[in-house]
Amino acid sequence: MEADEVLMVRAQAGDREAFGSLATRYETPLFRFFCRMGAETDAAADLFQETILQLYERLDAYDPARLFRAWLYGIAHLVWKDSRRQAARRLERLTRWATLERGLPEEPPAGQDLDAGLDRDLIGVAVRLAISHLSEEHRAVLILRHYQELTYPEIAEALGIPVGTVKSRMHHALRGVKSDLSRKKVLEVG
Amino acid sequence: MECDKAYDLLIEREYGHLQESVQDELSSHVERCEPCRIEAASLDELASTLDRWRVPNPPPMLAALAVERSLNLPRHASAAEARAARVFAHLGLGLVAAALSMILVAGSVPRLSIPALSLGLIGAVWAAMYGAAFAQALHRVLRMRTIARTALLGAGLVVLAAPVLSIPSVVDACRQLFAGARGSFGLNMLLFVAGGLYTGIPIFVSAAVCGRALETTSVNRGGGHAGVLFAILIAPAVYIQCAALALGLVATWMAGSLLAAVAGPTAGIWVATRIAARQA
Repeated sequence: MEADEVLMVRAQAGDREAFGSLATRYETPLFRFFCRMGAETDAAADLFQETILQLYERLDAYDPARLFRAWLYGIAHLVWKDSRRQAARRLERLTRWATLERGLPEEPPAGQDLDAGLDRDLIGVAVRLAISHLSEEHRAVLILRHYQELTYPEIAEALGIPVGTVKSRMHHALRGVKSDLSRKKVLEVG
Repeated sequence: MECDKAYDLLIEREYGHLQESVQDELSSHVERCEPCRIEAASLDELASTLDRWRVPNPPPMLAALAVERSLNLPRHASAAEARAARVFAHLGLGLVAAALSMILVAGSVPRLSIPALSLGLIGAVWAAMYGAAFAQALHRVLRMRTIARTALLGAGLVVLAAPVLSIPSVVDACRQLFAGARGSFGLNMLLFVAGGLYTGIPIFVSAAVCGRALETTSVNRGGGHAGVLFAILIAPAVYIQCAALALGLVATWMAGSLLAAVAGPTAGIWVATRIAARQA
């Protein structure tokens, strides 16, 4: 199997097949990354498409000396953050209208957008909720390390932060999830 | 080994990389220490529990659709639009720099005389800044904070040197030096080119370096950062000296500087992109 970096160089030279191979190779990992960050399945599919579009538009900007995977996740993370900003603005507008028309509370209940039933396994749901309670930064690091299996240096490059910060966020995230799951008696040890 | 450190190392063992010697030390600590043994088991359990969260597979043909959508976009048109947006962004930054400079020019009124040593110090300050900028470019130390530090260093040196390097005295000396040639075409051209180079080189290098450093976020944003840094930290110093050197011919110098302030970042970003493409 050709390395990502080789395919990317071919894509830069105009090889459509190589670009297609890269998109296919990262279809499932990126889709799942967006799902785990908190997107619904339809939204995750849109975000994946947006990431591939951004990848295509930035083909010339890629430096083959850099690890492609970290670069791609950097783009995906930016796409995710942009989508959250837009969603927050939309939610704010909708909440204002709802408050005006029906007198609903301003604050949406915690975890409201996470009850779509992606997973019927109760432990899976507990994990999902525990991770959703983490801050955006801690969640991104935990997901990239545990589920996407990026190394610490790769995460550092993707998120544009020092490796030390990645490690401390990972520690913080694990502590948070562990204490959440222990409180709900999902974890038996500790 | 203390338990707090052991806990950190347990996470490092699970998710990072531990040297063999540290791994051995950790294992022997965990064997002896009951709480750490529980922590280790708990971390193992946590890792396997995290795996219980399953997410669905992507819908069929998702990648194929995304590729088709991307390839059918008029890429050249969007690239041209992006380039136009970049030029306008840099034009704006150039205008900001020019506005700052005009304020500073208006404020620096010539009064005193200047020792030759002071001129030498000005040269040394700018040589240090140019040197740092090129060193970054050549060694690919692509960090915004390095660039910011360099710019701050340069600005700091200029501020420290200000009591010795009286700007009006520079102006006065130049006035005497160019007294005979003022108004001549040759002197105007000389100052135009000098102003352009003086302004253009640092901002060009900054833009090229920033363009490569920030390509994962946005090439345009890289140029923007370079321009803002330049406008805030370097431009005032540049233009103060421009004013001093070009007394009576400020407009000519400023025209060259403004042109370079607009063209420099764009050219820098273009070179950064070309280098990346060539490396491919």
